[in-house]
Amino acid sequence: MSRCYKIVKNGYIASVGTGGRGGTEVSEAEYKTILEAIHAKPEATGTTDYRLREDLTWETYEVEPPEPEEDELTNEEALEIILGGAV
Amino acid sequence: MAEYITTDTDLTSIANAIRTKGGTSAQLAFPAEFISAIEAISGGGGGGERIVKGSVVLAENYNYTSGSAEYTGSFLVDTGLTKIHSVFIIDTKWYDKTLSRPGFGAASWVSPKSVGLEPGGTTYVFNGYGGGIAATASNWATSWVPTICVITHEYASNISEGCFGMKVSAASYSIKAGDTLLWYATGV
Repeated sequence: MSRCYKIVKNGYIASVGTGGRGGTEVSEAEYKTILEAIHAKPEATGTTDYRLREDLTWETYEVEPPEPEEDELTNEEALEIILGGAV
Repeated sequence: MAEYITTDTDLTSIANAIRTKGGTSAQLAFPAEFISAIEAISGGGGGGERIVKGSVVLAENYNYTSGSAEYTGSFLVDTGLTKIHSVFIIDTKWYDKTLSRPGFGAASWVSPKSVGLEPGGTTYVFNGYGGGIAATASNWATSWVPTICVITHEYASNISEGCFGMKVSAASYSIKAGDTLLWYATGV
């Protein structure tokens, strides 16, 4: 296997990869261990998600709802339309 | 069979050259791993052109953030090339995404036109660059469709970084933890 690395952001593992440069180089064994931990990530809910600590334990955190696209209606605009307001 | 004597210094020099060319730091046992490491080195065209490859697996969900240049985050890929000429991405899911080259600002965004495989095997020919995203999730029967994006840059003379990044361009899409992205880059 080519070079393995991990990328750590603010104390949490953000990604692992192979090839190229960048990140912090890790052994193939460590890469596979991190990969196993990633594939065991708990399922996120609408308001909580998980991030991977460097000790390969998952930490819960609250997530913000995604921003709407520019041409999407806000909830208020949609409600106004539904209630017979302007479009 | 003739036998030859060499030194550990000479073998280390050869191994170092193989590692440099192959982009790895692994210990190599002579001769089998020398041979396999050499065979694993990607070849390229003339003029120093190389093909390099790699993979990225996210440990976090990568969601849409309006106006942000997420290429500086976990999805920054340093290919090891001095100049990227093209990037091929193979993802296990289709997502609305764009590529960027750090340091060149908005003009450097290259929006991939994606190609995927419909159930039944129809392949859409993909080439080109710029423009918008060609397909949405509604074009495909399921979201688990392999997607191949071919990117060629428009500003060859300006490219000096060997990095590319990715950004999710729509709130309705994300890249999930565990998703694997395979990339192949050509350049020098």
